[in-house]
Amino acid sequence: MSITWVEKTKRRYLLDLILKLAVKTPEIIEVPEELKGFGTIIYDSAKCIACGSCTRMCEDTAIILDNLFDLKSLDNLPKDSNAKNRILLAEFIKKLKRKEPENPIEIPKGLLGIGTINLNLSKCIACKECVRICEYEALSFKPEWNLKEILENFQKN
Amino acid sequence: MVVGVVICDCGEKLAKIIDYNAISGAFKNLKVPNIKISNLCLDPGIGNLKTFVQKNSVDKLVVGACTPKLIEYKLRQAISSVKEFEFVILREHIAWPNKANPEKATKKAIILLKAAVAALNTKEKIKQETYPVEKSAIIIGGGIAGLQAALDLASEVKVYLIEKEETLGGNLRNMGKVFPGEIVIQDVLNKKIEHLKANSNVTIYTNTNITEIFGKPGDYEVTIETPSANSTVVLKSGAIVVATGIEESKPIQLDLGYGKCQDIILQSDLALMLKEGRIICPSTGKKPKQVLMGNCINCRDENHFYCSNICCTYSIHHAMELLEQNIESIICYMDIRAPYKFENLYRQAREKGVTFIRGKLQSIEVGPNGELMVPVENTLTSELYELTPDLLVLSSALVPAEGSEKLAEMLGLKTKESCFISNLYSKTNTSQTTQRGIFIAGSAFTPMNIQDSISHASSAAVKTMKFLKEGTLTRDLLVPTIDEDLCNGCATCRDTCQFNAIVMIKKSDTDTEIVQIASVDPTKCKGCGTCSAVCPTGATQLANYQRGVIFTKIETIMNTIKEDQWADPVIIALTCEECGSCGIDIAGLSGFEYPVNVFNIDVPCAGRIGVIDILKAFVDGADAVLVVQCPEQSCHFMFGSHNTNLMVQFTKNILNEIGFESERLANIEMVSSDPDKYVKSIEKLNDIIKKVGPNPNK
Repeated sequence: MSITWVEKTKRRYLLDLILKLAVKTPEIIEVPEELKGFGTIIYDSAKCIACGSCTRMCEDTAIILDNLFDLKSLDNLPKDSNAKNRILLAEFIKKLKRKEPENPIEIPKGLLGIGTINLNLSKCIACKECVRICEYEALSFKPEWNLKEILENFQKN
Repeated sequence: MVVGVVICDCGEKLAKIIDYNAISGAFKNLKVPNIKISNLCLDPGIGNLKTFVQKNSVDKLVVGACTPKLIEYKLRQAISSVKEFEFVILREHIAWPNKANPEKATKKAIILLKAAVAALNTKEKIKQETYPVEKSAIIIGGGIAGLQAALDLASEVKVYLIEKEETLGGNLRNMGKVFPGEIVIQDVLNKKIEHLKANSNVTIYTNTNITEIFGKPGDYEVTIETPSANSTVVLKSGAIVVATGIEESKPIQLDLGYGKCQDIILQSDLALMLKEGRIICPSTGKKPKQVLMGNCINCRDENHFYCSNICCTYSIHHAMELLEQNIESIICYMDIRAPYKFENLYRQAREKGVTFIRGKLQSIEVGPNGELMVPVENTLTSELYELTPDLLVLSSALVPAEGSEKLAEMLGLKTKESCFISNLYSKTNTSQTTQRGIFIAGSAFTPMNIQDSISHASSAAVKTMKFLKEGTLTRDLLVPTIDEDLCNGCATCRDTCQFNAIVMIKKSDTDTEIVQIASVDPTKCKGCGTCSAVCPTGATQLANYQRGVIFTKIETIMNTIKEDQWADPVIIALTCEECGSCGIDIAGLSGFEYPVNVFNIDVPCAGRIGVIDILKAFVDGADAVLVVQCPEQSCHFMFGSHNTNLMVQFTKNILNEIGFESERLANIEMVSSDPDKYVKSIEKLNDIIKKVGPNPNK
């Protein structure tokens, strides 16, 4: 399923309309089952290995690789994951650490294969292509639309 | 599978420092076949080793001797039954730097030899593969470099010469006499073209464009399009020589009136006038009395940061030719760069009356009747001149010929900051591009004068011939392997590889999904291992330098140290085999003495070192880790050293965040000629360990 640019502009148009009509701050709304194009992608950074497959798959540039890496996410890494290098990294950090990591650390620009992703919900059209491509089940789909966050995000950009 | 150990005491000289009996004893206890030889580099020594290998049916060998840079080739030639070697550099890395500390030096030797044995036990046998090489070459560009390369190659192999213009000769077609003096370049060109046309090995395609390039080293398919025949032809060749040359940039964006006033021309226009013997001002058709030349236009500035190398010399040459026709010339320059014998030409020009003003042209005014008014500041005397030449000639920056950027992309070649095509390694291999089987000749690499172009083209021809002559390409498969079950097709390795050696292929084709995985092309891979360092899953593993091999070495070193009750702190040095290991050799050779507590682990390129390799050393109890790498700009594998810098930075960020002293990790960029960098950093790391204490993880 490919998404054309027309839909992208259409999405912006829709959000603009909602914004003009809104008289109160919206909440999370439910998306009827089988309605395509709306929904929320849930991201689990513990399972993500920052391979970047989803960023390439996302034609709407709603997903970008972030240059931050949260060490805390390594604690919840699934044991049976295919990401052997990431599991080793978690194991070594566990052995070496002398204090709990607090802040996400910066990833030097240009270093591939490590990082977290950044989801821009206002750009996402819930095509679920990223969910399909992700081998590590770091992305999942939830049939609801967090309109509050989406509109805030939309206004910011 | 039997691993044997051979140690050499360098004609008993090293026996004064290292206790060879202790080493032999240690391996005897472990039941590892071992032999001490006095001069492994001499024929009797090799003979003894051969007998040892046969008697014990050894098929993997640990060599404790001098640096492999001296001995590896000879050993591989002599002992052909053994393919897998591990070298422990007893002389330069252990004995010489620790003359004052023989006991520790012996211990260190045993530890590193044991680690080498353990590593060899985990290494698999290297496989070899042979690929056919088509014995023909395609040369792209019919300028002087392309012609020379074609001539040199045509004596042995089939050559296809492709030129986009109608005639051969490139920029030189429009030149008459060329510096340093009396050579009429057309004679040279015509002779070369004549020879080429007479050679049955050569096929010339003029007026031809390249539309597609497929294939791999030894087996390229290049599709060309000739408008005259109105058809496409597919040429098969084993190698490609890029000789696309340069052109003069058109400084339209500058405030110099180029393109607005007819009397402002480029040096290439003047060259054509000189060739035809008709020097005129284009606006009036009259012979000019005074010609002003502006050098370094569009060059050595924010547009093109580099020096175009040959403009100084040819502007002087043109001025001399104008002088012969009684035309006065003035050259405005930034610095005169006339190297080699051309300095003489410069001196002659000054003596004969060419005027030189040190100052760069900034702006030009054109009067109502088309007269030129050029303000110039002489920066030596701070005087301001208002010049009114009849003709203004600009020496504009020389840039890669039109279309070469697209060609480089088609061929998968890297370009430099200056947009010229880059070579593999700036010092020793100037005509090899980043792709095996693709070579570069002449000004496509950097602006060159005619002589240099010809020499560079000949050098490219020699390299091409060397590649083609066997008719086959044999590669030891010291390349990454991809674990199909682990690979998830994320393409991180492909994006990291600078040699286009990794492509994504279909793994399986189910009804709904296409699953892609990485695949390595051994003909293109150079074996640096940077891909395996960035692979998130661990599917990509460089053969013989797999994660397991590096881990085994670290574990063996740390375990043996514990068993031996070695009291000193431990520094693990992960060193690249190029400048890193060589620099440490030179440290030993130059008589540097440094602390004994550093243990080197070699990798082909520092790019192979990933974050987990560094952390593994800390987990196993290393008090400090040193990464030794080539300087970023002169990495032998293009990107490896840069990636290492990123990896080390990232690892430091992690260590900081988890409260583990990040000063324990250091990396140095070293060329082999500054060994003191290594020595100083070892001393510095020892100081740091003293300050922060031993690794709490011990």
